[in-house]
Amino acid sequence: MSWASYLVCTFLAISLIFNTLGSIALHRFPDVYTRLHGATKCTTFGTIFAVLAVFTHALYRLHATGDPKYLQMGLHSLVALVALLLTNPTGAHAIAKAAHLSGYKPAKAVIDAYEEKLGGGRE
Amino acid sequence: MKGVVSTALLTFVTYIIFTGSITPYDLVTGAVVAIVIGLLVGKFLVENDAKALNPLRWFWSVVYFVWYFLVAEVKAHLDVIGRIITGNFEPGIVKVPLKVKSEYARTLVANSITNTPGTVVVDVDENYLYVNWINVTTENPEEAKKEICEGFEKFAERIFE
Repeated sequence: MSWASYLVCTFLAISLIFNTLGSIALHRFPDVYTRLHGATKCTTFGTIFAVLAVFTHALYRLHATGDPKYLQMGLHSLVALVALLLTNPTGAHAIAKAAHLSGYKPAKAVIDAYEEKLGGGRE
Repeated sequence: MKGVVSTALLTFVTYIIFTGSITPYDLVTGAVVAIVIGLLVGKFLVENDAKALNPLRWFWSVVYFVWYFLVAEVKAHLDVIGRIITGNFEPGIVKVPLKVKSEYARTLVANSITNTPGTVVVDVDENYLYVNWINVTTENPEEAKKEICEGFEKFAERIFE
């Protein structure tokens, strides 16, 4: 095995660890908001490292073979990463707001400033 | 004609990356698509051409990208992983005052906060962000801001305002 394969395997392992922790978070946290933290955030890092693995592999193959299709593979995975970074928080915003408006209060919350604001608006 | 050039440039670069080739055929189709898209949506996306094409702003956005992933994300990830394993957290929704006014800057701050583990933006109004925070250490808006989004807003000001 070359050094590049070791690097790719390391990135994939880190990615797997983060994704596993994200799934564990889904089970451990009590309500929709805290689960959003686990589900969307740990998988962000998981995806970043998966993309890094693909990118490293593509660069290495490009260097070894000189075939431009590997350059394309690397660039495409970077575009996928940018798309993920834009859509992931947008979806999380939508879920969080929809959950609050449809009446799911944060469990065990020490403070809920948003409820105070909504309460003020209703009166 | 406002916004056409900057939108068309960005579209052209994305198109070339996607096709992955620089044959004359791809360059010409890319240019045609980019100009049409620039004419169609440029005026909705860009308010000020000089700002959109300012290299200093692009430089700050690259600095921000690197800083965000190497410092902010890593720190927050380690914190949240600790909480997942130990189950030690105090969730709550806090108010965070927001100084920047332009739409793009507010989107950048809100998206950065949500992408950082441990904080999710629930709603935004004129002056405040409502942030679900996994471990509330302070209920004071100013102090919460210091812990959650001080750095993000500084960069958002440099990039978009």
